Amino acid sequence: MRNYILRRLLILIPIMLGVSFLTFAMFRMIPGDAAVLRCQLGCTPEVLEDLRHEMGLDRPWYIQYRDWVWDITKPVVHHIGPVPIPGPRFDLGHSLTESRLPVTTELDRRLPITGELLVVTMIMALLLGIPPGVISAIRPGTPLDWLARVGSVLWLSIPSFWLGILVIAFGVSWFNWTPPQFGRGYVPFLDDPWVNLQQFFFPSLVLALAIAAAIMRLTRSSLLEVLGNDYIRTAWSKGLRERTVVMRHALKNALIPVLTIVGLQVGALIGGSVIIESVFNLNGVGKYVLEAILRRDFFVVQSVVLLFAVAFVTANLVVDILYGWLDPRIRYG
Amino acid sequence: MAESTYWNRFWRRRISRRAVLGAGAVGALGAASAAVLGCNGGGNGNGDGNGNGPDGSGTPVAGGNVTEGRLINALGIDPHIDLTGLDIDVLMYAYLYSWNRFTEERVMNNLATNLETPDERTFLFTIRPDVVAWPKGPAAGEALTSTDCVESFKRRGTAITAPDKRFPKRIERYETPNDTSFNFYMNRTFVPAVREMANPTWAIVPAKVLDKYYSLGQTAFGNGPFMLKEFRGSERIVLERHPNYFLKPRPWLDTYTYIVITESSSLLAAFRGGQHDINGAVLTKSTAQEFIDDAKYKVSQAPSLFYPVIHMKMRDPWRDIRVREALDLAINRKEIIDVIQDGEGNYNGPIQWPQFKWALPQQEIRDFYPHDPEKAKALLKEAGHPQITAKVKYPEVPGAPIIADIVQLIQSQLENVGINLQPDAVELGAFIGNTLLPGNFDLAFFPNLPYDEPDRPLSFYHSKGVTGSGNWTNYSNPDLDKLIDAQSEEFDEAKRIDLVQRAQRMILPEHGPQLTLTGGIQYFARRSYVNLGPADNELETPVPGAVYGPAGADVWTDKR
Repeated sequence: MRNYILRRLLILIPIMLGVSFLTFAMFRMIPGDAAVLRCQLGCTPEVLEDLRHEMGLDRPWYIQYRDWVWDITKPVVHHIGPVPIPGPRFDLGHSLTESRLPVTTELDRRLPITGELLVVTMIMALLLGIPPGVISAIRPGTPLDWLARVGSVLWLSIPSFWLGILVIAFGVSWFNWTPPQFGRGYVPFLDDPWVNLQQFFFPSLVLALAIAAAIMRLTRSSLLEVLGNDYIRTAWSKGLRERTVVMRHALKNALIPVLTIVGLQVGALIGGSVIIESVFNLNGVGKYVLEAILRRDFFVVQSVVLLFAVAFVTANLVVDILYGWLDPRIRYG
Repeated sequence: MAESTYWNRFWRRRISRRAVLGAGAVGALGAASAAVLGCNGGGNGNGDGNGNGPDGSGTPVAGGNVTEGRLINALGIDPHIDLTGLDIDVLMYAYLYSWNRFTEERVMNNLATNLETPDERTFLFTIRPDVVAWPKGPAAGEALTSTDCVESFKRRGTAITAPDKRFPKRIERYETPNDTSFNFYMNRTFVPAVREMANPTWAIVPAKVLDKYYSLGQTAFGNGPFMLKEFRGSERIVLERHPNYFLKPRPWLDTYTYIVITESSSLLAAFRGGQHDINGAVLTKSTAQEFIDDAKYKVSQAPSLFYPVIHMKMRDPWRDIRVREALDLAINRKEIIDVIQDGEGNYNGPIQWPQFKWALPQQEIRDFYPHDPEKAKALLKEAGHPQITAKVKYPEVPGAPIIADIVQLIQSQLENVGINLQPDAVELGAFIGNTLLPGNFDLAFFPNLPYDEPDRPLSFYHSKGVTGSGNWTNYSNPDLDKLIDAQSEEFDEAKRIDLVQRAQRMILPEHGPQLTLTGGIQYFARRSYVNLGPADNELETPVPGAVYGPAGADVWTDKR
């Protein structure tokens, strides 16, 4: 298992290189750059050139890419307290906008927000997806099953950004309520848990519904299939209670494909967070990258896409490891 | 700071076991949902906006906080360089003087007490001795001097990203005979400089601050009515009262807070929900109506200087003046006002209508732009282009669906005369970089920026382009160039008005290369307890002689 994890982690290196290069290349194919957007309409060609020079955008593309990668990977010694620890420099560059802020500084501020959004969303998705899926599978054809299936189709069909806007609009119209971050910005959990939960409840719920619907449908079909197996029939014939048959014998096996879809949904979740953070005014990484794309802030986009790629690969690695826990027959050589 | 945290409050209280268990149950989804909606919590304490204070006609009272919702991120607040935080800069820095956009005249209510111009190239300022820097930073508490003015002018003039450097480039030399006399001499007359010096980018920053800080993008040490307390440009900006501001007892407010919400519907929802006192985004009349009808709010209005325009590339078929005139005749400007601008607005000539001093009389413009589809068809036929198919590129600006709305309306109007427009939405960055600046279009539609000086709007018709940035349309008219250049050097106002109007009358019959359309009215809403000061005028229509104080100093609230 250890070797497997190590191999998977090593695979991250070419993946990160590939992702960063593709992002770099594709982003430079889009017309317009940060210099043009800062200069706007009254910019003379000379000023534009000066600005490109100041931003380093007048260098050949391969030099820009090489320097960016080198700034991230350059070996340095970090000092954590008195302890010197060698490692890569992790300098992701700085914003090309007026702020000139280092990307790592912004990420330090924004990662906790996106991280919390993703974690709360995933918890909600599992809570809203698996129990209805199980109920639907063990009571097929009943009104409960029908309700769960119709609900899942509904949540899959509704775009999350639209639902988000509806939540805000109805919150204001009916309850004169808007999320707290609209009036005071982000409040960390440790500063005020109650306000923090209010900030994340609806964005997470809106994001979670579509994922929960997919999980529910897969749980239902997977559990239905498992419930038809011989060993389940044997369990019934032993006179075991329904809860034992379903929860102990059937569900664990049925969850393997569900786990796969959960891993893959991390990508959708990251994509969804880009819009939902904007709608709910959460200053997370998703909103950061969306604004950076509009402003052609190359280093920010490259860095965040890289980060998302790492998050996606890592999440799927965790899923792979969990397979072994769910089904002891699965072993990685 | 520590006293205000949740945990301090939590541990100070005596908490029963049941309460702890109850708190744990908060995670339950249903309960949380109901509670979140029911508690109306999390706001900034700005209240319910129930109009419990006077209607703004009372005497200013000191103290309190006003929160403004802001639609765009403040990426930087360096007044000489950054453009996204200029509305914040004006609250933090001193300027030589202010500008009344309605009378289009300078107001000597800031750093300078007097300006003498013995000739058109000499500017002699007398400055106040009591405008002091904030009590923190490299120049803490020190009075602004003429040296600070020189250093600020130099920095503003040489910053790479500073907009429009024509004025600073013409400054030949500076003189500082003493701390309160600031003089500069220009090598060539440039009249728009008079307006420009009151722009937010011409802040006077202490020289000691400029020495110490290469960039003031993320920090500030100013001398205006408010001091920077907290800056998170994409989230929250908090300003606090400058205790030694020269216009004591102003500023009235203790703090002025900005909350950034970049999604326009969310911003408006937050304002409705009581999270902000001032809605920082422009409203249309239809949106503003709910606030006009509600006593909890005050709504002000002002003519909009944003003006939509169509640019034509001077090549076939647009090179033919008959085709350009046909396009002009096919556009129904009244319908644009009725449909897009809620029936309020006027026709724009080359100078937009709210620049009252410079714009051509409205009736003259309206007479010049009749809607005559039949004549348009005849002209197209005569020009050999009875049917034209043309792509019109326009920028996709987040939060501004009105751009696409106008394009669609014009498309339907032109269809009636045989011009088949094919709208092509281009992402904003690509629109500027790949469409407009390189002149890569047949027709381009965009909302032009608000200008309150005639030089900029006219420069769109100059062969050198906007401030010399290049000719996007290939249009060239040497006679017009001479007039545009002449007005920028004519110091006598009456003569300049004449030049500006002659230039406009030369542009109109050309029907290009930039077609102006209409300009509407924009609305701003705020809670009724927020007062913008003695110069506050509910309609904000032009008031000759009205004196507008330095920004922010006169804002007060009776909400406690």
